[in-house]
Amino acid sequence: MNKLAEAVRLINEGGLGGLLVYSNGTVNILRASYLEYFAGFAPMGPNNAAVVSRGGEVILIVEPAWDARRAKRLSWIGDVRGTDDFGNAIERAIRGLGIHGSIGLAGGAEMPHGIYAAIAASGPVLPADEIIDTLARTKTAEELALVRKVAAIADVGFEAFHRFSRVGVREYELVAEMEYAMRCAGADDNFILISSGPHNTAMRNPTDRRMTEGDIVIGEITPVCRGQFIQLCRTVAIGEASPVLMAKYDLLMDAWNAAVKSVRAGEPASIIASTIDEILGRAGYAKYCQPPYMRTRGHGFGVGSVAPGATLDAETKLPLLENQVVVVHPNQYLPETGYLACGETYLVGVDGAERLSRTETRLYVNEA
Amino acid sequence: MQTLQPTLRLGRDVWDSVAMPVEEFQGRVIALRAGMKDRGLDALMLYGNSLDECGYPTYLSNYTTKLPFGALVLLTKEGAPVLMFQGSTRGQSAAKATTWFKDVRACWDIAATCCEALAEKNLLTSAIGLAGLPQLMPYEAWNTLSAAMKGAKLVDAHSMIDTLRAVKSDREISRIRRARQMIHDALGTLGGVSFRAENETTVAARLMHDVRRQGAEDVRVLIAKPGEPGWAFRPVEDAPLRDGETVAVHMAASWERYWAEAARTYLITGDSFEGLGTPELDLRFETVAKNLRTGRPISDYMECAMREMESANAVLMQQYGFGHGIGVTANEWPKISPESPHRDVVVENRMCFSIQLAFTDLRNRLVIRGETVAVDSGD
Repeated sequence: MNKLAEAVRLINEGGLGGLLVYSNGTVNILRASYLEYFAGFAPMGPNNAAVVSRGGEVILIVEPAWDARRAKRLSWIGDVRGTDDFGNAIERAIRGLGIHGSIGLAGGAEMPHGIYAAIAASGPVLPADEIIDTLARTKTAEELALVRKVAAIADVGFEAFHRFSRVGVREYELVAEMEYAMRCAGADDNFILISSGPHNTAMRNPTDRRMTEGDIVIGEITPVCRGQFIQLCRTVAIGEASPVLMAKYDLLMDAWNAAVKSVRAGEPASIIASTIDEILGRAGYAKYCQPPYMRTRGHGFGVGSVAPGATLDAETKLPLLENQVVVVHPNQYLPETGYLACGETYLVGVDGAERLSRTETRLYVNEA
Repeated sequence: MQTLQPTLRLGRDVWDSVAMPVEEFQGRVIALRAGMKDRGLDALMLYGNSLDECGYPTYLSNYTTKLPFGALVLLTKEGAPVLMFQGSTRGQSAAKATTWFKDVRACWDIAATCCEALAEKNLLTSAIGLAGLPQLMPYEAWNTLSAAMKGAKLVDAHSMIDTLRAVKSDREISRIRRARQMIHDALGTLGGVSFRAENETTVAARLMHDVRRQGAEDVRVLIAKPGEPGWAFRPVEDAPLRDGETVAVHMAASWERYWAEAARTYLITGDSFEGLGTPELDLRFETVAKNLRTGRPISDYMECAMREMESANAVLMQQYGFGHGIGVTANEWPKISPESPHRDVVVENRMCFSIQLAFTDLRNRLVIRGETVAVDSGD
C-alpha cells in the first residue's frame, strides 16, 4: 500500500482540505505514533507535523531546526523544513500547499492549545486519527518483520529479568540490566515496570530495595523499536515457591490459556477480558477483577494504530482483526499472594493467535 | 539540548527525604505564597506535561511524570496543596511515596479533576496564577479547564516560578553535582577502552547502563560526527563507528529529580575511543565559561564570551546556542544564545547552567565540550 496515495484518497473521500499529522515528540505506550508511522521518522522536538494536501503534496516540519537533517535522511518525505517557530511554520505550510476548508488532524490528543489555535486560524479543524488508523490496518511484510524482531528482543529482556532477579540485587539494578540487554539486542527504547517483595500491589518504577529470599518479583518487559512495542509479563519467585503461590499462578495460567484460545480475527476484543474475568470470578476473585485492583487485560500495540484498543477490557467494542498485535495479560492482584504478572503478546490470525515470544510462560523460581 | 524523550522514565524513583527534606519544599511554598500575595493571586496552578516539561509541578511536589502525560499542582493561599497526575489509581501509592503532598489524585481526565478541585476550594471565580498553562496542556483539556474558569482572573505566573527555580539551594546543587559526576564517570569509561564489535547503539547502551546502575532516573544520549558535512546531534542508530571518525557524545542524566549534561568528543582509533580533550582545551573552555558571573546580564556574558572565543579558537554552534538553565528539567529558563529573549536576565549566584562550546584543535578538528556549572559555587 502506498501510504501517501491512500491518505490522499481518504482526505478527498472525507471532504477535507488537507491532513495534518502531529507529534509532540513523545512515544506513548497507550497511543499510536501517527507521525512516526506516516513519515517513517521518530520526531524529537516538542512540535512536529506532516502536512498533506488534497493533491498529495507533503511537507514535514520538525523542531528543533537542527533536527531537519536527520528527518530528511530518514523520512520518505522530500520537503522537510526545520523550524524553531512551529506555529508560523505550520501556517506557512498550510498556505503554501493551498489548503482550504477543513483540515483533518491526526495526533491532536497531544497537541497543545497554542499550536491548535495557530492551525485553527487557517480553517476548521476536524479529528482525523481514523485516517492513519485505516492506513495502519494492513501490515506490510516489513512491519511484520519488525514485530517479530521486537518479540525476540523481549525474550532477551526476560532472560535478563530472570537472571538478575536475585538476592542482593537492587530493583533499579535489575532494571538497568534489563534495559542494557534489550538495547544491545536492538531496542531503541524500553518500558519496564517491576515490583519486588513478599506481597506486591502494583508494578511501578524501581526503588532502592534489595531483593531477598521470599520475594516475588514481577515485571512488565516491553522493548520498543521504531514505535513498535511488544510486552511480556512475568513472575520470578526467589527461593522456594509456596504451594499457594504455585496454585494461584496456575489459576492465572488457566485464565491466560483460555483467553488466548479465544483470540482470533472477528471476535470482539472484549472476549479477552471477559474470558479472564469469568475464570477468575468462578475461582472467587470477581471483586478483584474490578478497579481499584484490575481493569485492563491487555493492550493493542502498533505504530500507526493500537487497535483494537490501547487498553483491552470487558467494554472494548472493536473486533480483533488479522495482524493486530495484542498482549493478553491476566496480571492480577490476589489477596493470598499479592499482584502476579502473566502475559504474552500475540499476532491475531484468522484461525487463532500466533505467539510471538519463545521463552516459556510459567512461574519462574530462582534459588535464594 | 533537546533530546529524544523515552516512552517511560524507567530509572530509580526515590525521594530521599533526608537529602531533600520537606522543609526544602515548604520553603518554596512560602516563597510562592509571598509572590501570590504581591500579585493578588488566590491560587497557583502549576502544570507539566511529558517527561521534558514537568518542571513546574515537580519543583513544588517532588513528583515527576514517568510517562508522556500531565501533572498539575494547585497551591492556594493556605491549606494543603493538591497534586493531580494522569495515571491509574494503582499508581497512587508509588506517587505518594515520592511526594510530601498528602492530597494526591490519580486521574485520566486532568482537566475535569482540576475543575473539581477548584470547585471544592471555591476558586472558579478567583485570581489564579498559571505556569505551564495553557502552553503545555493539550488543547481539548485546556478548553474544558478554561471554560470552567471563565469567571476567574487568569494571570501568567511563569516568571515568578522561573526566577525561583533558577537560583538553587545547596541541596539542589548537590543533586546536580551528583548527576554531573555520574555522567563524567560514564563518559570517562569511553576513553582508551577497546570496544570490539560495538556500534553507536551498543556504546550508548553501555553509557546508559553505567549511569542507571548508579541510580539515574532518566538518561539521554545523543551523538554527532562533526567531521561530516552538515553534521548535527541525533539519537544513536544501528550504525558502525569507523576508524578515524570524530564522534561527539552528549549525555544528560537526572539524579533524584535534578539534571546535568555534558559533552565530550572522541577520535575513533581502531576499536578505541581516544578522548580529544586536552588540559589546554579545558582551560579554554573554562576561560569562556567563567564569564558567567553574578551580577551581569546574559547579554553581557554573551559579548564577553564571543570575544574570548575568538582568541580561544572556539566556535559558537549557532544551532545549539551557548546553553541554558538546568534543574528539575534538563532545559530551563534562562536560555543563553544571541537570539535569546532572556538577554536581559541578570545572572545570580547559584544559578545552574548547561554550557556547550566547540573548539578547533591543533589538527583543525572540531572538539565539542559541554558542562554543567553552578555560578559562583566553586564549579
